[in-house]
Amino acid sequence: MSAVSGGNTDYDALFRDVYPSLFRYLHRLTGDQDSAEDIAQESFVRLLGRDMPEQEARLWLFTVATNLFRDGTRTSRRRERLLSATPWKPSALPAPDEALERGRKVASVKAALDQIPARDRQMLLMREEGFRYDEIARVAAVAPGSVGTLLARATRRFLAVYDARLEEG
Amino acid sequence: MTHLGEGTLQELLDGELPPGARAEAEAHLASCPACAGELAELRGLTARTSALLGLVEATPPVLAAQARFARHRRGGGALNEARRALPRAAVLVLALAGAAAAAAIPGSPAREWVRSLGLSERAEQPAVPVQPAPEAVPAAPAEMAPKAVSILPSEGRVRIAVSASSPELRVRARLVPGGKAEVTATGAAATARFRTGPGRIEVLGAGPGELVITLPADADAAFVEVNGRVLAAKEGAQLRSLAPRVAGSAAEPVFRAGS
Repeated sequence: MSAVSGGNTDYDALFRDVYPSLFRYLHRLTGDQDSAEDIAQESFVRLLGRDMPEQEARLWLFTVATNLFRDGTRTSRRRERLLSATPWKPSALPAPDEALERGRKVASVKAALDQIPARDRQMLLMREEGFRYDEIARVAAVAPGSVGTLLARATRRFLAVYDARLEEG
Repeated sequence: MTHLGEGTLQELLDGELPPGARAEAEAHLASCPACAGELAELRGLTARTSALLGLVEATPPVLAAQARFARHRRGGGALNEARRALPRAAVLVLALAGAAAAAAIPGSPAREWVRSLGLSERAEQPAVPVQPAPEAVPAAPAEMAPKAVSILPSEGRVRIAVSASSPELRVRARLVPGGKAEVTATGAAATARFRTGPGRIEVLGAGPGELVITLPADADAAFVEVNGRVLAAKEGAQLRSLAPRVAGSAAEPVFRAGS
């Protein structure tokens, strides 16, 4: 699975292996498909010319992408605009109850992700992508020994906000 | 002994406790209903969070993005302009149509490739609807889509490590021709999270469903480990069971994670 071949990074293999996960992480982190695409693309472009094993490159890409998200006022403004301007509404067309229920849940998950602290969101989403605690600690800039406690708290916060949003729904 | 902290319980669930600390924690849990109850609750909350996050899905525009990236590598300066000029929806439709057409051909290498991109398997995981009862891993809804991951051996070796699973999880193992190892989590086991590394798949937090593990006959060494205990290993051209099986056959044993 190594991306390094004769000292040259196999970018095609790396892209194929990492892009879906990076995009999914960013889509959930930003709440916006366009921002996810832009940040993922920018992260890969910044990787060009660097040579590192795949697992290291994967963490590097997530770190750069998370920093781009943190620094991206454009992205956060877009996120705020999207959240305020386009609240989820039931479709005008009749839809099965199941689809309505799912739509309500998705909107509540997105709202809950937006309302919890950014660090909680990053940590929950990185765990979801299979990162180890030491890797999560590096990206979230926390002590490795605190990751378990922080994740447990983040989980409770996320679910509390989600349940409240669903109730309001 | 003092009770286990929430951080320690979360580390146990996520397979992050070192073996010595894990053994101590498990010994404490066996004799402390309060901590065991808290672990069950945290396991339920973690699985529920994972299932809810799984609802937020968008198809990654892999093919279009990869093409843009390839142009960048070739020094295409007009990349962004070209990209903006392409209607996003059209790119996505083309990418999906191409992927779907390729993946529809049985036995096509493209099917495996598309699968590896996650285009055909972007499963939507329904939320676990209720709080779990203490001591129980939350049952995943029956319609939860299976999850699968595969790897190639590293230096001829493959290791599949299962941890923090429901004791009711069934683990089915078999040896198959070829060079690829694969784990498929079905039913309630689809709450599992996968981690991969060179020659290694880690399966964390699987619920009480079934894991189907295929080990590659071409590997020099391949084994299945559950909670730190090796249950099956490749020996020559055969699969050897190293623990009592609860079902299946010698060639395809089924183990129970908690036994």
